[in-house]
Amino acid sequence: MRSIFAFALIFFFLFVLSIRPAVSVPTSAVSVPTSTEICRLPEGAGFGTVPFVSGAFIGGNVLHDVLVRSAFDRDKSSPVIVRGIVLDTETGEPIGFVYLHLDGVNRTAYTDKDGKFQIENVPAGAYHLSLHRVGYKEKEIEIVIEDSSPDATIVDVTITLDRRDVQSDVLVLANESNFSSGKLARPDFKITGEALRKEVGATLAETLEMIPGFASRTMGSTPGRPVLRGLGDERLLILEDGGAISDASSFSADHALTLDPSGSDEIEIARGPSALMYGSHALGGVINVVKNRISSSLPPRPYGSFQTRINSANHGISAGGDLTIPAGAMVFHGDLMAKTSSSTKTPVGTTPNSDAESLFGDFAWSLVRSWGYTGVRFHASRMNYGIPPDANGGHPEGVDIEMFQTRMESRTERLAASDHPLFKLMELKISYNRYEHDEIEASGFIGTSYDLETLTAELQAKTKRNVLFEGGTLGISTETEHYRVADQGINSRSTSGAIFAVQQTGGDRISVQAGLRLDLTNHQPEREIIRPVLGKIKGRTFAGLSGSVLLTWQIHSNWSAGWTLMHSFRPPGAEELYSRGPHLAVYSYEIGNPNLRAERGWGHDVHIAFRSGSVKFRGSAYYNDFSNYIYPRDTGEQSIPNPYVNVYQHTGSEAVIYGLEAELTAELTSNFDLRGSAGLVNGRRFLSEEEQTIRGLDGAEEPLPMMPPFRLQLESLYQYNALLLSIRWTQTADQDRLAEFETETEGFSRVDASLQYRFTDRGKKLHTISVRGDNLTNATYRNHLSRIKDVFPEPGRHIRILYKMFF
Amino acid sequence: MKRYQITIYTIFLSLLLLSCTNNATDSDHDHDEPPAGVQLLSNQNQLAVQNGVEITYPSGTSIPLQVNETILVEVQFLHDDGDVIVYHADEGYSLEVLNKSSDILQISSPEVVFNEDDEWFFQIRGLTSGSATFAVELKHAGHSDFLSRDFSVTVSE
Repeated sequence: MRSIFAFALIFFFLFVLSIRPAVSVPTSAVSVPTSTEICRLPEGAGFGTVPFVSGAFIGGNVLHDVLVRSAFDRDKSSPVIVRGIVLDTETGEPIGFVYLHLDGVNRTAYTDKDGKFQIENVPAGAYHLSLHRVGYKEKEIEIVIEDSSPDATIVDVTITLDRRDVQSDVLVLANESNFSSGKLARPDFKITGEALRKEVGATLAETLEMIPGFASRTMGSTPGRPVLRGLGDERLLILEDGGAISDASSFSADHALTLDPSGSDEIEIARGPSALMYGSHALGGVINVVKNRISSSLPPRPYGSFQTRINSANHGISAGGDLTIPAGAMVFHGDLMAKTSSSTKTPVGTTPNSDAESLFGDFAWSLVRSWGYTGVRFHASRMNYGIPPDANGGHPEGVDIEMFQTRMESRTERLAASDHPLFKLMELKISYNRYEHDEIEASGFIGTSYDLETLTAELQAKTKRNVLFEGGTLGISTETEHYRVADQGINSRSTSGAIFAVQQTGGDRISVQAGLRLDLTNHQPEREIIRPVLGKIKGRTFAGLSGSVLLTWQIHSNWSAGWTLMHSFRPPGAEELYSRGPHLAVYSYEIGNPNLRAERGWGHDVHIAFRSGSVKFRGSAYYNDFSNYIYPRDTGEQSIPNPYVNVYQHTGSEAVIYGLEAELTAELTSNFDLRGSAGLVNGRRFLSEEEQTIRGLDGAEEPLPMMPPFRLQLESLYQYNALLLSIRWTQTADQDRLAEFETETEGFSRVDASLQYRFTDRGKKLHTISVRGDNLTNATYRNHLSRIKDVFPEPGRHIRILYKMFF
Repeated sequence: MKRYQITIYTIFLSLLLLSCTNNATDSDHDHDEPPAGVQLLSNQNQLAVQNGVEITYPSGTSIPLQVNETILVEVQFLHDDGDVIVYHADEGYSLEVLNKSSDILQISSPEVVFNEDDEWFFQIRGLTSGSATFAVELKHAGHSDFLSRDFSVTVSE
């Protein structure tokens, strides 16, 4: 019934959006009852049933045809193609394999070996086209498509790129430019090119962990999830091509993220209003791994890449590639990546049962026409990996996890008529996701198994300039999720819907971006019963408003400042409400709380940036205040059914997380850069009087668990022709601000070095080689955010080699 | 071009239908509450009881046993309100007894008496004098649902 309500809400919103002013309404009127009839869910039909899912997809496409298409009839418009050539500033020779990104309309392209590119279907407006290519400086140019030039269907541009001296510009701070954006409406920064190849690891957490502000929550070599400024899990959304991953990695430390970062074109990180387009709870921000599987532009010719990577820490080998082929108005894409690794070697021995195997594959098809594009994507991934044993006896032999995920995704974008008063374009995304994993104990029996089935639908409209704003995005989304976990409590079904708007405006010196989002979430257990410890298991409904404002001020030509305010709303997840059972892989017996309130937070972020010739500086201070921070609290009590594991009770608490960050880059010579960064984060929770009495404590607050320690980094970069050398020193302080039952983690020093080289094969192929030596001093150190840090340290001295060839 | 769209979306829907036919989590795996305690009986007399994480004995701090004496021990699992919960062997439950002092204590394989309320039994026999411990474990579908704390036995001449 709630599913019907959610989809009816979407249909209604679509209908409202599709209504054009009277003069523009096409004579071929819309038959709304037909579409809603097709999408109607039979009474009582469960999520996951065939009629429901297929009906939703059929409904989505029919809906698109009937509603969106009619509203966006393009009889008065001419699609604009932006095409051009990218040349080397010094030699004037064309540059191949340049990655281009047109903000605001979600368009990407690569140049062919002759330096040519083409981007289809660009509506009227002002855009920033950003270009990335290894060996060249990042460039961003403004492109204006005139509203009053219906015949100008092709815009030719010639762009020159300067060769890069060193790579200090690779990690782009987008806030320093205007409304620069990628697939996210306004990323704070993005990682591309050499920086991405230097940092890319087997997991996304490993890829980002050395970026200022980031830390990595791990449990062995494979399960890892990034933590940004002390915020992780549900508070830090992770997306792939703007879509949710829909796995179980945010539930528990032993669950791996089902995302392979090695094939990504760029990784974007955003906080503030643009995060509201993807969720109400992302106070930590959004990480978007951009892979461009469903192509929105027609490449001039086939292109692709091949890569292989080895890691001496665990004898890891990976190999894979991707291929994109245009065929008329269609684009086909396929990619495959296989990885295998043994157990990880540390300075004190090998971490047992930390081996892994994984396979990721995608196939995508898209059709690019003058009205926009439509496409589908099929994704499958399989991961088998080990969880190291628990020395206390919870699972003395370790646990093996077998994970399988399939995802099907459909995207359709339709350009609005050029004279449409409100919208530039509209995009409809529907995806179905099935995620399963089994946790297999040493005896061969399945201890726990997770099964998530998720169906999401989202409609976004890019708006034109209006009375208040220069433009932005309006959207509506809905999601239904069936959550089944063996031996962990009651299975449940969750339905949620949201309406959001993100708009921006500003002048030469001050710009404002604002977002507002309304969410409604319902969790319904399969049975409403009374259970010992938990109490009454019942359905819960949460409604909340979230919002954010980002203010950027260009104080002076060299100085800029910004302030972000965000109010987040996070309803508890089904696992936080209903779970009760052993989870041996994380040495815990988890108990939910069916009476949990929603988590609400206020986040403030102030930053100041300076850029002058050879010096760049950026400093930030942030303060997040939670009224009900939900986390699994280690009660220190032995579980009754299993004496080897402690009870972790999901609980809500008043809490604050605050910190400081600073980054300075100095270009000492034309080919030598020095960079330094430091980050401090502190999290504290406030104890209720009842808890103080029970525990016999005098203090009214104590540290939050899993907070990263202070970290200082110094890095030097030296470039000699096509060679790029980097040496990085990292000093991490002791972490002695400890939550209940947490243990202290000693500080450590770590030295890493990397060498990158690139060459072209007569312009036909671009080859890049990256050799990275990590922990060169073979220091024995421990990651405070690792669940196994008391038993197993981090990897010792090792080498990673990545070879990537673009063709 | 419409033909291609139809073909692609047909494949899309077919895969979708296939993906919806398998439910990885068997319904029989979603069983009832784990016990909150366990009591051991002999001839209807309580030998020991574990309520929560604590074990208590009717007298003293262990189960008394003579060398060469054999007693039949009945195992009853308890709800948190003290009621007995019955776990049926034909629903995949089994009992194991972990002997942690095999030089002092001999423990037989558990047996179940099938009736309306399946009854779980095992025998213990004193071998030599000394202190011994054992634990009982309720298993379901091969993995542990409940593992008791260690019960103490004092074997004397």
